[in-house]
Amino acid sequence: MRGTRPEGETVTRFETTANVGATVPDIVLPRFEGGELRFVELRGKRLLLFFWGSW
Amino acid sequence: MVAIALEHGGRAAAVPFVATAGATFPTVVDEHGVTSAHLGFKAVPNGVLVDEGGVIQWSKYGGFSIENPEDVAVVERFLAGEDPGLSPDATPPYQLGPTERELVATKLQLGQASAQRGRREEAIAAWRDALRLDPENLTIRKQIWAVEHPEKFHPTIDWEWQRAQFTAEREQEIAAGICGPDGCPIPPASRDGERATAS
Repeated sequence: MRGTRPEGETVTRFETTANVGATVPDIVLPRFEGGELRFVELRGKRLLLFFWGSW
Repeated sequence: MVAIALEHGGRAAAVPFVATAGATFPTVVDEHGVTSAHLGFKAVPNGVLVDEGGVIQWSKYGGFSIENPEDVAVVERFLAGEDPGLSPDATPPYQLGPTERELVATKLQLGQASAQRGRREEAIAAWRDALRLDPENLTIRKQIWAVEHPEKFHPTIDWEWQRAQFTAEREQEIAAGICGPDGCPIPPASRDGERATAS
């Protein structure tokens, strides 16, 4: 499994509505065009994460 | 923007869509449900707005669309440095514990490996195992449907069928005790039964 857990994670469930206030963990995923994307590398700018599926 | 494709069958399924969109932003593929497990969502499409420090400031789970003017307005406001406002009220129903999460990821990985070798039944069995651990996860369920009922997805997606199929499958699963970490909902009929017995 790729990706790591949030630091010091003990809570198994986000209590906040819609996860607002939670920090996006340092997930690492393969890019379509090759290579990898580390989510922590995206820090420093505002961002939209768009989750979708082809089905 | 970063687009994350939830494709438990492998990245190949998303390639035509990425090509059509002519994506000018990074697109990554999440074959093992890492993002859905971490963020606790059970379906797509979702939009999540993240600030400079990596903190989620707004999210819409289910029904987010970059063609919906309201969603676009929120995104533009946020990217311009303003407050995105309140998120739609869509609390994820539950999130798996670390052990279950690892198990689901392993089963999804197994299913994907089988699917890529053309072992359809083995792939479905592995995805069903994952779904038993995480029964409200629509991305897993839809992956199974896409393989078992391809005619419901091409050339058009039959939403009516999906709704009916979801209801039927969940009823069967709840009757069989497959309920997810929060346990089974109490069916209204049994509450009525208790009242009837008490009175």
